[in-house]
Amino acid sequence: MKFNIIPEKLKEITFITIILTFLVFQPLASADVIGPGMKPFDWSYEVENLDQYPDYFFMISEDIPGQTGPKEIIRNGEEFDFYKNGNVYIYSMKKNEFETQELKNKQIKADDPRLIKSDIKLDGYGAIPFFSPLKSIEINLKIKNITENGLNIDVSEAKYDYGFYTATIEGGKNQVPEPNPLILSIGYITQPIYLAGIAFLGIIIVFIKRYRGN
Amino acid sequence: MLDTHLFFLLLTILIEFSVFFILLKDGFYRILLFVVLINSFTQPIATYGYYYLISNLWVVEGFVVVVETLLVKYLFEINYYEALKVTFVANLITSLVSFIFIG
Repeated sequence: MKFNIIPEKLKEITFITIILTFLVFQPLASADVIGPGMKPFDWSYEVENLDQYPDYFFMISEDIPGQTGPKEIIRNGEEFDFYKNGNVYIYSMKKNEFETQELKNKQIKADDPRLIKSDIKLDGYGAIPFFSPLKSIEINLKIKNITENGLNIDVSEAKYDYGFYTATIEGGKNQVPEPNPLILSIGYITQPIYLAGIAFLGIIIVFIKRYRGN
Repeated sequence: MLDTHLFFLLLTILIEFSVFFILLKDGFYRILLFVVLINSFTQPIATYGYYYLISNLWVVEGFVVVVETLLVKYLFEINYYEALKVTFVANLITSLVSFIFIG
């Protein structure tokens, strides 16, 4: 009888069941805010030339007039992120007009006249499709200039990390560049193609060995 | 958290291995090796195909069953009927499990 469970196999089946149970329930722990078919991923911003403006502080904040303004200082070469649904801008303020205590006490409002608001709004990222190969996005920003009325910032580049392949897309404007279908396609195919190729090679080796053995 | 592709590949391998192990009278390591090879070959291509060629899960699963049946038949050296039966059961379970995860 071919379709019977052999008693000696029960031990292995128990072991497999335990691992299977772990794998089945493992992703549920982080599924509280992510919708079905979606997954979270890493993303961050960085301003690469803050050190060229030593007379200024730079902060990020949601733009809600009258509400609490900047709470977080950003520093040169440091990555930062924020809540995904935020309506976030970068603000600068002259160091001689600013006291750290104000920031600590949350006394700076979003419409404080000393603040110079960026011309670019920073988008947060939520979830991406479950099978998307995208691992992370790093967005590099560059300050073009600061005037009394405006903080002009460009996106210098965006790095889309697909694991085996990272696409670096030049920015230039105050908008985050998105990968074109070809880049996205490479992102997808670079992951499975290696594994599928190796597996195919393995299958061929099995057949060759069997053929030679006979 | 495990990489999504790796997680689903491991999950598929475990499910299919369990099914093959129960339904086929064959060695533990031989089944494991063949199931790993078969799924490492079909799943990445099926995932890519689903997102870029045919966005119909059942059509993609159909192709997977056909390819896996052929591989199972020749790797395990069993007849077509048996290969189809084992492959069908294994893929039916993995499809149902994938519905639980991706909705």
